[in-house]
Amino acid sequence: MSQIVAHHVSKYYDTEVRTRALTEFSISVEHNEFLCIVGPSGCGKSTFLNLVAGFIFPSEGNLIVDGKPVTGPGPDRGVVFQEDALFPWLTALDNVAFGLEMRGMPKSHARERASEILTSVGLSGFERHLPKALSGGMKQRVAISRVLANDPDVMLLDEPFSALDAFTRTSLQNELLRIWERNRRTLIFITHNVEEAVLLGTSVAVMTKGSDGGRLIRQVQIDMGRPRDTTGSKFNEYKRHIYSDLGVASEF
Amino acid sequence: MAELPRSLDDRSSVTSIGADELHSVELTSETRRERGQARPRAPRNNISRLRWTGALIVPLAVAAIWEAVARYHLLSSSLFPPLSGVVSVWADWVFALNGKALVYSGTWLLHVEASAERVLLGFALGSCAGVILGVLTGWSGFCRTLLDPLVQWLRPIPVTAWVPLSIIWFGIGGAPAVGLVFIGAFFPTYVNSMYGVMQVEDKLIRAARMLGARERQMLFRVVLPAALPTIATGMRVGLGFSWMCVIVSEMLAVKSGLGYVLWDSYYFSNLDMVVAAMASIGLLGFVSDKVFRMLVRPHLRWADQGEQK
Repeated sequence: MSQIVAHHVSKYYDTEVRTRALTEFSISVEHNEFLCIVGPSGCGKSTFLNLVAGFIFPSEGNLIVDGKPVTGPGPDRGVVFQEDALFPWLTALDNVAFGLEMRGMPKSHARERASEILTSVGLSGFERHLPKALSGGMKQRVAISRVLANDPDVMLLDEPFSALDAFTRTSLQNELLRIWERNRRTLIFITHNVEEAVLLGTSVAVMTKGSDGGRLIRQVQIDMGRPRDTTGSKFNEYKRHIYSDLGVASEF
Repeated sequence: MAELPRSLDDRSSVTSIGADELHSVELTSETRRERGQARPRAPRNNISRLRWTGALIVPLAVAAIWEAVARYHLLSSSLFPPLSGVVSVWADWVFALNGKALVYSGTWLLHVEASAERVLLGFALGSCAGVILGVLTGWSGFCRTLLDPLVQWLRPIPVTAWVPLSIIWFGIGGAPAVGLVFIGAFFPTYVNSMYGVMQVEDKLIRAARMLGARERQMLFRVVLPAALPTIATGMRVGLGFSWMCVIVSEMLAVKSGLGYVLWDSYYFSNLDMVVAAMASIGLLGFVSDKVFRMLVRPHLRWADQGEQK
């Protein structure tokens, strides 16, 4: 059975006029799948992520995770936010230990575990730094680490690398793949970068913004081994495909 | 006096400022303790020495003009006491030197203690109540509906308007002063705590929830720390108000403290003493504010954005 099933999910916001963020969205995400969702701003991709996270609830339709409807956020679904959402008063170490402590692990234990995780993402030596003393890439490494500490079944990433420079982004993309390959779990990764989606995903869901809210156009399986050759013809074939779905001319 | 730079030594200390400040940002007190370092102190280099000297220029100029105006009788000395007179009365008030402070000779510390005690007690009680109620109303919409309208109604009532009631309730003596200080400290702390809690960023709440925090943990581990800078600002304003309140009540209802001395000296037209009392109040307010900031600072280091030391 699929791990995440969305069945005709719609989400409206009742402001002055009723705005639809997501319309009749259906998708199923398998266990250990790395699903990338790509689309322009306002296509509802972040809305879908927030629905799965349990921050908001569907106006219509069903959203099932692990056989149960989503009733709220929980440590089984870790979220990496687009913007820096670390706790600024906690050190990198305590940010990562936070989830473990919330779930009752004694502080010294939690810190030990957190320190291991930080080391595994290349941040040993930065344990006692406050977030404001870390670079953007380091902050996102900490943000990923604090989610990993909870060892969630599902990881939800909302354009996590969009604010980073190209070099940092590449190194974090590799890091994320390494994490996923070493310890498989279900990942939903939101991006507006087609290349990033094709590079990372086992499949790519393409969304557009319609007049009545965001819709899913198509889901593309990426049948390529790893590491993927981002300059090869197959990779570009996928990109061209997705660009044409999005109604944007490919640069090829 | 600022020392002259000892060329090499001082130059190296200047070039290390950048690195030093970076460290003070990056190292927690714990690492510093491990490394056996003291907390980096600011006044150790030419720049801060310059700043200290700079801070004296305007006060010294004002003092000079003040003394000149009084000495050359540009204004009548019965309206405008010369600085030197104020200083010598003040000195007698503190150290019992020349009897110029009359009955108050040598009693300064006594009155300072009386006022400070009232401020401390009233501020402690008032700011505690303000933080507790403010956090409560900020956190729970229900509590806000229940409590906030009443508080907002009472808040604009000036402290002076509370004086009669506080005398009727607590009689003449130290108690009405503490009561008044309580009121002065309560409102700014309450308002800032409430807004501080209400303004905690949604992304932090969401982050904590997805990491598994429950309601109680959310309040103590996320909302309170996030609101702490705003709460501290409220307390700081409250501390300032506390001094105002203690002086008002001492002028009207109490027979000791700096406010009492000030008002009593006014009755006897001892203008030097009035000014000395005013200066003392200012000094105490200034010092208590500094001490408060010093105590709070280590807990707020995460929030200062490269603030100048």
